[in-house]
Amino acid sequence: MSTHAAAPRYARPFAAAFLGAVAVCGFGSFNAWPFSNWELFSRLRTDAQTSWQAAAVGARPDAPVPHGYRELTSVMRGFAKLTPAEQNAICVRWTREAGARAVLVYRFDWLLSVRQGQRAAPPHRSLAWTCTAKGAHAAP
Amino acid sequence: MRLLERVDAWLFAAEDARRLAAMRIGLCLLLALRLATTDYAHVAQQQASLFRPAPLSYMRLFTHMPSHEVAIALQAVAIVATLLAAAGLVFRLALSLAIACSLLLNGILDSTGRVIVGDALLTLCLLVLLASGTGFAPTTNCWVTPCAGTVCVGCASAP
Repeated sequence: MSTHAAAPRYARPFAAAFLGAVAVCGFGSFNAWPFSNWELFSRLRTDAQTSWQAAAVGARPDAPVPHGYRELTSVMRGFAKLTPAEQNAICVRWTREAGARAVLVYRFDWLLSVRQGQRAAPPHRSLAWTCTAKGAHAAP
Repeated sequence: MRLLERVDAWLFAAEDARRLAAMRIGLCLLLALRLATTDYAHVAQQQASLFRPAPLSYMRLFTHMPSHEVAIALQAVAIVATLLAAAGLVFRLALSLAIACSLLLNGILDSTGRVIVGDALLTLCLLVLLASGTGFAPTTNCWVTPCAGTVCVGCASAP
């Protein structure tokens, strides 16, 4: 039996389209999941680093971690560009789900090039946002 | 031209039906495991302002995350469909359904601001499996009582 004759009619167009999509997304950096650009550790990173932390004030000790805390860093990266209504909605939800009086969102900045021994020097912490049941308030 | 023929012969080479069936069972069981052990409902009920599909994502067809109940239902349907596909029962329908549900569930995870590569490779493998048609009923027969010799792209065309 010929292998070519046995392959379904659509097999070759499918294989061409499939391999083409894998190659285009991979080499062209298009992230059209599941055709990924496979960008795992290939992003350019400078020595300037930023991180975010949220602290609930007056939260119940047994309060569950709010769903909205997932990927805090990616949320906070674009938080300032959201509309006030969107910022308020997120903040109110976080505060309520934490059962807290307020949720303080801190921004941490540090330079990897500034070293203390083998490690980077401690980051600079600054209060960026205060979330309450009434909404979001940017730190002065 | 000769190179193209060699590539073509490599891509569409004859394969033993039992190995194809083993591939189908393995990939489907892996998907079932991933579906059963991932918490999709956790992020499903995020509010609309936190719904951030990637620029090229099919999730842009939606305006917000599905409800907790919808995510659980999708997960249950996907697991059952994947197990049916692993067994070779109503393979095309079952695997199509499983992949569709899996795409939606992974889309939920990917719409929280960061695309997770995680199951991308598995999904691509399953798309190839679906297109190859290796799960027709004859393939199940191959698994139970293997066909004689080798066949190309599953047992569907086997004598």
